[in-house]
Amino acid sequence: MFSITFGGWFQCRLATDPDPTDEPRGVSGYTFAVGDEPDLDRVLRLNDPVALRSHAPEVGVLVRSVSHDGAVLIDHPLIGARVDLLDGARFEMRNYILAAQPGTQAINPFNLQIGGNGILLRRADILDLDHPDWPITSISDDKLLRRGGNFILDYARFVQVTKLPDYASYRLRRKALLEADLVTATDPLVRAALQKRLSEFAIDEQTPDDRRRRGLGFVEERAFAINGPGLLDDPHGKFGFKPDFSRPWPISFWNGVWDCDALCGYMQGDLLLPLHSHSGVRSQNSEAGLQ
Amino acid sequence: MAFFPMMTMVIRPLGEVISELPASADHSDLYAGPTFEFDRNVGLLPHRGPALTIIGELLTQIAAETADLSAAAARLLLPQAERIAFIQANLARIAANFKATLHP
Repeated sequence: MFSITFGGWFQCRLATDPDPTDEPRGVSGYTFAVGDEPDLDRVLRLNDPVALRSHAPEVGVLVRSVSHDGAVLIDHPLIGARVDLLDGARFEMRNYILAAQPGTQAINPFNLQIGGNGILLRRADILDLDHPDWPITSISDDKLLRRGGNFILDYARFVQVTKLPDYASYRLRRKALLEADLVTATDPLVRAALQKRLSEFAIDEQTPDDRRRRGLGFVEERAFAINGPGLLDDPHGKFGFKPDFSRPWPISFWNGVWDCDALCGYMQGDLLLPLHSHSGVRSQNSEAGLQ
Repeated sequence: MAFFPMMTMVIRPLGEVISELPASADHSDLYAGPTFEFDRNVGLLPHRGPALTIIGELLTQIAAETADLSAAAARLLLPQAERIAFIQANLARIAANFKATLHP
């Protein structure tokens, strides 16, 4: 078994309840597009953020370590490779239409790609193997739940990621940076954007239990087996192993530490790749369709 | 909970879409302004079971009518077509979710 551990900050520019899911600028929720930022689009960007806000965390979900049958491979070329979700992956809750509880919604589509140093590994998960082309609104609840999450509040993961002692410190530090920016900003659009962002900080200063602050402790945990078509593009045989596409690939990951000002969160997890019995054989390109 | 998203995912987006459309063919320079008035009496059924059944049927009916509207919007290449399609897909799922609660 080949194991890939990945992690990093991602961006997700989404509207929040009670705004409709497709609200483009944000009105009634606690997230907004400000200034000349493009409309909110809900896309999960694990790399290549769009209109990343000032003082946001550095976005980049990358491979952090790999191992083979428990032995860590410290020099493997996949270390540092990008981890991406292709084709506009989004959290698909739609204000309780597709999930009964916050945090239990599926990420859809789930087309995972890991690429770097001449290796490209890709595999898609299919919500309903009998109806792979059905829209998500036609998928049964139990199949959505398979790819859904388990929601918890976890202060420990916030501390692990931010190295800060509490949510207030995180928010107040950002607020101070934005206030300093506002002092020197002269462009009216920039000033308007900063003022809007700062107005949001005033809310959780008044009400410390507000979701703007509490969201830093939001964690969604997911675990399922990726079951669809995939490919390994490895023309120079750097990967060193032959993934078995005929078996599902278990993935478990969490996303949380939701920074509603930066519209970013943190993601961390593990992907397990079953290997063909002749593991260690130099891999070349391989491809497999649906199981 | 099956009915909960109606306001956020149907009524409000529908109101926003309507307000972007011309008031009439003769007044294309004016935008429509939905009032969301009831122009007839709403007869409340005293019996829960039949009432819920009728609500489920009405949800299914309006989801089907919205599908026709969505198709028309797409044919006319309205800028609101994508949003109407999104409303329709969500409304159809709301109807299905509601009916599922009636027959678990």
